[in-house]
Amino acid sequence: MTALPLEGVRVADFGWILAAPQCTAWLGVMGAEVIRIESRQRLDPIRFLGQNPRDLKGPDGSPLFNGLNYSKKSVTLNLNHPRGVELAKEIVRRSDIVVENFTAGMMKRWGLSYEELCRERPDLIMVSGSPLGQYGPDSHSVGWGPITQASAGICHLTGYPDGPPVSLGGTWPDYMVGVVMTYAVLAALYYRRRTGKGQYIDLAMAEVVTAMLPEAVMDYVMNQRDRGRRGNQDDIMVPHNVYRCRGEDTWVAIAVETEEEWRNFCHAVGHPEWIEDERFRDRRSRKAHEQELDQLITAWTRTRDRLDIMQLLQAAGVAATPVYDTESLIADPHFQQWNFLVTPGHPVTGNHPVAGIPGKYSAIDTLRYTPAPCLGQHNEEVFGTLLGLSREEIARLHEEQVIY
Amino acid sequence: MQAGALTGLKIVECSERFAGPFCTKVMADLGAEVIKIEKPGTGDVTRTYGPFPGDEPHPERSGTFLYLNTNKLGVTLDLTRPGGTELFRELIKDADILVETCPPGLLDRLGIGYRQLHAWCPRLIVTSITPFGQTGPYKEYKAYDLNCIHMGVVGYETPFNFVTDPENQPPLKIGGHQADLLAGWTAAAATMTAVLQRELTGVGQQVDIAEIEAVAHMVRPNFALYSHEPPDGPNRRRFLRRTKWGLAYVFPCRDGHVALLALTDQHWESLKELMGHPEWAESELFATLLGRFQNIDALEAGVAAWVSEQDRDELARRGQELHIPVFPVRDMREVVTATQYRERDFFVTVEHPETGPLTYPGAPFKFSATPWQIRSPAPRLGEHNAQIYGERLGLSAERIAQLRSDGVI
Repeated sequence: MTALPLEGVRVADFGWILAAPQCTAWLGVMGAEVIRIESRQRLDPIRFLGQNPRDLKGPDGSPLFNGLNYSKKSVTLNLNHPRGVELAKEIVRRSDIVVENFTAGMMKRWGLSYEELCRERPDLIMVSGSPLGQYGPDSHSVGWGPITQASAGICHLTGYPDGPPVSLGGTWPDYMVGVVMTYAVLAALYYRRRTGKGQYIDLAMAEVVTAMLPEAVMDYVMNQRDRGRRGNQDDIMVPHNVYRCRGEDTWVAIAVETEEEWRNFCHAVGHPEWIEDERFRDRRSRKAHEQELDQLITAWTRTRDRLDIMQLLQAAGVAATPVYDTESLIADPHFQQWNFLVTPGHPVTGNHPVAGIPGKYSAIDTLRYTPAPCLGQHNEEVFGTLLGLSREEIARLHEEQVIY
Repeated sequence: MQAGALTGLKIVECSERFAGPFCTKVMADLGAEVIKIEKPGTGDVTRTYGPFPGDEPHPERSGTFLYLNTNKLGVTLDLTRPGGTELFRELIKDADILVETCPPGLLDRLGIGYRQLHAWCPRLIVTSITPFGQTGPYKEYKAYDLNCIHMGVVGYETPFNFVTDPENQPPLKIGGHQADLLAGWTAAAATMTAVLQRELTGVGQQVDIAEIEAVAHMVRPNFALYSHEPPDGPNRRRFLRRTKWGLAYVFPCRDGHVALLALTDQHWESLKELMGHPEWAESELFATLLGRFQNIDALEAGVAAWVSEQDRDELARRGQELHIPVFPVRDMREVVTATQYRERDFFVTVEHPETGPLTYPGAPFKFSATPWQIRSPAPRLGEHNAQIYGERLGLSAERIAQLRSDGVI
């Protein structure tokens, strides 16, 4: 079997909630040994989310946690105890990468700042994720991802035309930031392999979000214009919207960019006369009559099935796709064939499909999916085998609530 | 100029629009050398997209193009002309990575698909970004940002916990080109994964990124919650209907909007303090996290009514003092002028011969040893033809002139 990309890499993972765990799941699946450093003192709230409130199974019973923290190990360490901090440093000394996403300043308070940890491990790579970054006047701010992004501009740009700014679906941007964190860590790892030098990465969620709004930022900078909210519409493409189909709350998304796509679209929906229609003659005229055109298109889509529309229009080279809810996406033959879902299994929650890590790699036969760890599952292994503590000492540390 | 984290990596980009160019931009910004291939004559289609200064279209002044292509070398090349693919192979010869976004099968037909390139250059990593990936029944289907956001469930969930009238609140795209740029980040992380594997094995590979899949990962809790629930369980039902089942997090206040979410015990206690302990909030109904979830509509109505009478910045400031996750919803002027961004030098000024100096979003994260940096602005169309074809590949001036008149470059 081919070596996995991150074989031999060890990660001391202080991450919690969503963004950092998405990053370390990627690293674990790719072969890194990821050691989650947790504590009963400050349990990852995700360990309780998504459980049936009438049938709580404790910190190991969360589908949400177990669907995000596969391919990792878990130890419990009380970082408010000096010996707990010492042991955390012992783990870091044997690690290549530290990942954390506490409120800025927290790691320093524990005596686990990058400077401090570099004394243990001079070539350490450490990434800190936080809402607004580790320094600057507002760096102390607290925020979940979806709240933080409001300060970055994207909520302002999301909403129906003339409506208020709205909240975004998909716990945006947490998992997206997890992917960005992964990229940053891997770039730093590449540099270290070349030069032997580690470094510190200060990642601000808000900055990642704003860096993904080039059109809006540049329009403001160039023209002092705020683009505001445009619903499903686009600057350039018309038609560009979601259209009602047969069935309750069922929609198809259609986007037409080129003139060739437009002509193909008109023929495919059986309205070649639209091509000659003065109102729709070119992109500019279509934009000016967008509402009328959308009504005409809806008259055609609303009596049809969304998957039939996709097939018909895609055969004509037009980007038409169903608007999917979770269940429809799971049932879709393309996603099934792509093995989008994986089943790492779990001793408490059982064998259920969950989302894997994106991408397919031609030189990797099997990615490493192992069950998410139960809380403290690897205490013996990490403190005994990796750090070399005796059985008695481990028992004592349990008793003193250092391993806790 | 300091070395970047990716200095020494050589990338050829055969792509246009958003996802491919953004993937190579974030790698170029960390020091990788990127040679961007554009169609002779017209170039990357984003050159025709706005925004333009003064709204005057100009192929060298598109804000979208300029941002997505910093730090790259630009050459023109038409792969469909005779001699085009030979020249392409010359460009690839010393490269570590090819990033391409062609429809699956197109490069194979030109004789430069992954298998052909791999046989010839086994260390090469080919990162292919397409809407649906290289395999599966939809692999040849088209999809733009709108399609990917909506098929990947994010559109169905937007506006989040806000839908009370599905008939008049269609599923909603999120602002900008988030699906495309997310696919770019995903491809960059996956490409670096393959680069690190190559250090162990010495062999390249094809990295196959499907934009729709990258988007669907943003709703990853849904899949776990769905699969763990019995068919009649409450978590299943909520995925079948696009209606409100929990707390929205954007609320109007007297002079704008705030984003606020205070459900944990600690946050809820702090929020009660901030609200001045109103009677409704002290109700037993809201005393536990479970109670707050079960009575979410009443809780939201109470919070929303209180927020609507507050001033935005004052509320956000006082809330943060009590460690409540609350931020103002900022518009573009406020984003571009934010003090926190300024103190962190987030925005950078980039000089470009056609636009003069302009402000761009800068480093999305800060590296201590190998800083993110802009070394050069986006290339003008074919700007580096002479440098790459002449100096690098050693083609004579006559040969370059011939290629130009043949429309190859």
